[in-house]
Amino acid sequence: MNKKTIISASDDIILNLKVSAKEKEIVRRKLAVTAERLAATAVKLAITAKERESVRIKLAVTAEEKEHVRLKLVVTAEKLAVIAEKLAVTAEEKESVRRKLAVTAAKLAVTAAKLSATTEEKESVRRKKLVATAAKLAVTAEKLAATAKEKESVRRKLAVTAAKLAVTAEKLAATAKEKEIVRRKLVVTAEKLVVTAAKLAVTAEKLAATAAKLAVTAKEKEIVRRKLAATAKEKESVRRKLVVTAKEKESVRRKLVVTAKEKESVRRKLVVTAAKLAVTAAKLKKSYETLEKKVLERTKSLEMSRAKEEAVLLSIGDGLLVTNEKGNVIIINKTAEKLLGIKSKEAMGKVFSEAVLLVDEKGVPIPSEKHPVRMALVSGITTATTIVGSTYYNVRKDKTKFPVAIMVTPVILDGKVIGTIEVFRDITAEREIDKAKTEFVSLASHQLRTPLSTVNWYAEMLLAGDVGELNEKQKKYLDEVYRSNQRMVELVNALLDVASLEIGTFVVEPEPTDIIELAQSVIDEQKPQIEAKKIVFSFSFGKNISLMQADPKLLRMIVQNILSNAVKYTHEGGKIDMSISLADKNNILLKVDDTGYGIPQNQQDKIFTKLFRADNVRDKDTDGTGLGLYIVKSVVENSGGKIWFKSVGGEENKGTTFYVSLPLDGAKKPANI
Amino acid sequence: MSNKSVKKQTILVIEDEKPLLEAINDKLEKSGFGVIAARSVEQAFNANIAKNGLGVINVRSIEQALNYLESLERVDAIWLDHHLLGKEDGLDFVKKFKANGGRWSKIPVFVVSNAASPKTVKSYVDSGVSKYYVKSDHRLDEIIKDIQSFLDHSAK
Repeated sequence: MNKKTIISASDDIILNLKVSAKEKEIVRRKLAVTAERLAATAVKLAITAKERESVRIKLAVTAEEKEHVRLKLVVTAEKLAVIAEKLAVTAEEKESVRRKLAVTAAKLAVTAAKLSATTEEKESVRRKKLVATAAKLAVTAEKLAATAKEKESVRRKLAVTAAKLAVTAEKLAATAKEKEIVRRKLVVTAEKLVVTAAKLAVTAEKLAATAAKLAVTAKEKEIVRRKLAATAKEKESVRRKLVVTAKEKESVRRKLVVTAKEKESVRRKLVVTAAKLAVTAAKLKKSYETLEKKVLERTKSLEMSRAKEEAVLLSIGDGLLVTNEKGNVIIINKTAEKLLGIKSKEAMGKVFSEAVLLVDEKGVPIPSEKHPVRMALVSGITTATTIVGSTYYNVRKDKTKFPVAIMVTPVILDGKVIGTIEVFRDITAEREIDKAKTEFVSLASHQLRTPLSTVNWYAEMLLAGDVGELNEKQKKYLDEVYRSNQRMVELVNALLDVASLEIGTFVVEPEPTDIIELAQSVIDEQKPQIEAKKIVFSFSFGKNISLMQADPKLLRMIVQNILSNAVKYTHEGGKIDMSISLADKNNILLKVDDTGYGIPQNQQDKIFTKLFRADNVRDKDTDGTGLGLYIVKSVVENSGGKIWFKSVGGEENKGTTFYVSLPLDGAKKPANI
Repeated sequence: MSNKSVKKQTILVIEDEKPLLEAINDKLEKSGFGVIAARSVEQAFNANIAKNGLGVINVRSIEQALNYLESLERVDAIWLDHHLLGKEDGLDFVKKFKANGGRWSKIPVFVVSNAASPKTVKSYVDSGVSKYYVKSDHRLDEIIKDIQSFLDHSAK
């Protein structure tokens, strides 16, 4: 057909060609235009192709990039998957660790419980510690279990703790082993004890048997005793001794029951003793006869000595009252009967305070605790009343009373007061004498001092020129009179002090006193003499000296005497150092140190003697009464103090040091009532 | 001495020992005091009052005497010895005189005596006397100076 189409077309064309060459030219031109258009279109198509190629290339690049990203994503996804797996694994591990820990904690709790159970038999201290540790561990484990879930950090801590716990568990295991060893030992010990118990049971049976035998023996002894008693029937005392011996035997027997081991040998001894007892009974009978003889002799001699003692007691000049340990009167002598105006039977057996009424000056009964008899009974110390101080009075049957001096001595046997002996006497006469003495001192003080005062005062007025001026000679003479009179006053004062001291009317009235201030005033008083003799004087005292309990009048007397002696017996231009310090916590020490004449060695023991004056000062024409140191010593000792001195005797200018120590708390009262 | 006070101060001196009384009297007057002297308790209320131009007043009882003396308002201080003529001593005087009360009980009393037993001194001090001097231990001018300064102080 294509061939027909092409032949037809070519025929057309030949026809056409034949039609006109001009038409051929138009077609050829149309074809040329179409060719040009086709060429343009081809160019256009070529350009579009290029553009498409670049787009294609671009698209290819994009695809590569996308592929790359996709690959990365795939890798990331893989990694994520791995991570996810790991995380899953970690979570699982954690869970398993937690579970393990929970299990460990539970085990530990169980172990702890077991340990606490095991330790019950052990010593309490160790057991308590273990129980406490186990409990703490259980608590810790619980806490770990609770927190494990939530906290990684806690988990780590738990891991550490778990490790520690493992160590502890090991230790506990070790301890458990030791305990096991101990337990085994205890089991062994227990077994041994069971054996011992069995042995003891056997021993106990044996002992019971022995006891039964002994009971039989005791019965035999009882028979023996009765036989012995029968032998001694005539003599009550022998029988009693045997009864006593039998009782002792009985107690020995009981002791033997207790000390089971020695039973057998003792039983034998008892048999032997029983035999000996028979012998002893015979001997006793003999010795009893001898004893009775001796007792008779002794009784006779005792009666004689008692009669003598009674005669002595009853005839002594003082009243005598003896009481037993309860204070009941058991002896009263004739003098006491006479003094009290009673018969002995009226007082015998009565308690001392009822038998003889003891009252004070106003007739008020002396309270029991102050009654010398009661005091002796209670304290076991001899007590006495004195004529100085408050007086006691005994009341006579007729209700009149008399002052009495009483001395009660306890009778002590084996450290126990078994009675008292009261010796008393009527002191009416003594008191009268005493009163007379006191009156003498007071009268003498007045009578001696009055004329001295007269001389004093008139001389004073004359010297003062009250009645006109005196010439030098008159003044000098009168001065001598005045000074001698002053010495006389001093002597009288000293004598009166001595008398007071000796008859005990020296009244001591302690009060808080500042010894430093007092010493200072004594020093001020001595100043003129010290200065006149150009003596270098120093006074020092401790800062810690408190007020002391002392009679300022007497304290002054002491300080004044010691210091004035130092001044009096030290050369011109000499040296005196005075000091007051604490000797110890209870005593004060006054020290006066001079460079004076000293006290001769051979006369140092007499220096405190009344009216004594040492040779070396007597030679030196100084005044002095020889009473000062005597008085000072009496006063010091009365106040519970001490006085002493150091002196390089006879060696001139070496001086003397006087020391006085006095109690800070005042005068010691004598131990009398 | 006491010139500074306009009114002369008067001291009642009760002392039994005549020479001593005279000495005290002279020294007190010399020191500017007026003196009423007595040797017994009774006299203290009686005889020596005349000396001051007051005439003799018969007093039968201490009470009367005290009443009378109180009205005089003359005595500034009393100088008293312990031992006195008659039965009563200085202590009796002080007791009665203090017991009487009134202005008299306020007059200072100075006991100047040789009866220096501690018991006596204590009794005086307890009855309220101002001071106690042992006669032989003190100079007259010393005691007078003391009394003067006491009176000067209480006058203030």
